[in-house]
Amino acid sequence: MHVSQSSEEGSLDRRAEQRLIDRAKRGDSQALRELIDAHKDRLFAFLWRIIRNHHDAEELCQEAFLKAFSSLDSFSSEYRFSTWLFTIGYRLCLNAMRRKKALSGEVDFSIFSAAEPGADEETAQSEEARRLKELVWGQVDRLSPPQRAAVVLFYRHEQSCHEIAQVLQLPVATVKSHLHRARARLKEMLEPLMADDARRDRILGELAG
Amino acid sequence: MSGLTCQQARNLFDAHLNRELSDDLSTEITAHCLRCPSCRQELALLEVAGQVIRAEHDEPSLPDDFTDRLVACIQRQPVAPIPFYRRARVLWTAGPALAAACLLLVVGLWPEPRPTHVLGEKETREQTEARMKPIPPDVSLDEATLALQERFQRGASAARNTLDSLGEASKRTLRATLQAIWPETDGAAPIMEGLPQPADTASPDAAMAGEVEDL
Repeated sequence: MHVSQSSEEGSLDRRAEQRLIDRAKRGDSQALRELIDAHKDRLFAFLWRIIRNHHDAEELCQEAFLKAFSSLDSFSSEYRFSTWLFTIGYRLCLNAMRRKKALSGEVDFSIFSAAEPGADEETAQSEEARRLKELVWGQVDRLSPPQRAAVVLFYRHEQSCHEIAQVLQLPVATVKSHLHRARARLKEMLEPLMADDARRDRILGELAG
Repeated sequence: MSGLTCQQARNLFDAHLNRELSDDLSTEITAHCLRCPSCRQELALLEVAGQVIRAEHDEPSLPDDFTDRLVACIQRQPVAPIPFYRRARVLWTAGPALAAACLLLVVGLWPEPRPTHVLGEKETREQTEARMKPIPPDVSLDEATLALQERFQRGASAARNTLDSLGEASKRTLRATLQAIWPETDGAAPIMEGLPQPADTASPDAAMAGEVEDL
């Protein structure tokens, strides 16, 4: 599944979205259904990337929608509905992770990392490309939750630093700093692999293809 | 004009990767990287993780019935009570009718003569007290629903006994008032059953109902 901004933009323009929200406020179940369908996959993918557990991500996704719909009156149309939904989902996700941490006594957020493998293992790629993917995602999983969220929103959901700042409720400068640190850590981990440009180009070509 | 130095180029890498630079500055970076293997490698290393993350397609998906379950869950949630200030607004709108209805209700509740109990039984003091007691928080959802239904039916039944003693005109006024106070007519349905329908759309009842719907 590939999530991108364009899929969201394509499915709902802002005025159509506002009309749906108005209908949803009046309890129109068809409008609720359309809003859920337009956002559920992207929200779930984002939450799964942060909490790294299918069941938890599904529950959080449901909880985020319930919370969003029960407080639609406080939704401000100056934001996109998806931004608001992601903000709620992210807060719920952080709370759930804190609860887990409190229960397990663990401090390291990487306990949530690589909890389960991805859906289908891609078999068409070479061993090198698979290894690269494992390394990159393994490192992403070891980032702090805000760094990981910033990276996932930037690269997977193609959000701007400004939009990410709204979702994470952080200043834009902090988001940029999270992205900078995340890239630095990823680069550090990849450095030993990048012996020559030709090899890198071949692997990236395979990944893209 | 000479191009960027290595330091200048590297200082701009983040902004370049964040897609915040103008096309001109991005081209300067590209031009610099073409002639500088070290900066080219540095930028490639910074870009590679982003490319891997973008190209990912091994993500699980939600079950097919997610939307159905969620919509069902939303519809099961209790309707939020009407806030007091909105009730107050409705009461204000319905002011004169309410005053008349209150007067009629007081007359109706006067002990003599007792109304004939057409529907439901007279509620004893114990039953009234039981009905007013809060439902304990540890009962199951089903038990709580049953208890609420029973309480409401008994409450409605008690109200109906009072209604029976009212005249037709009073009942009509009361219907309009109830509708104004309680716009979700489903909730007031058991009481409404005992009250006459408005004669036509121009009656005060219909006007009142329309006004309430707009709120």
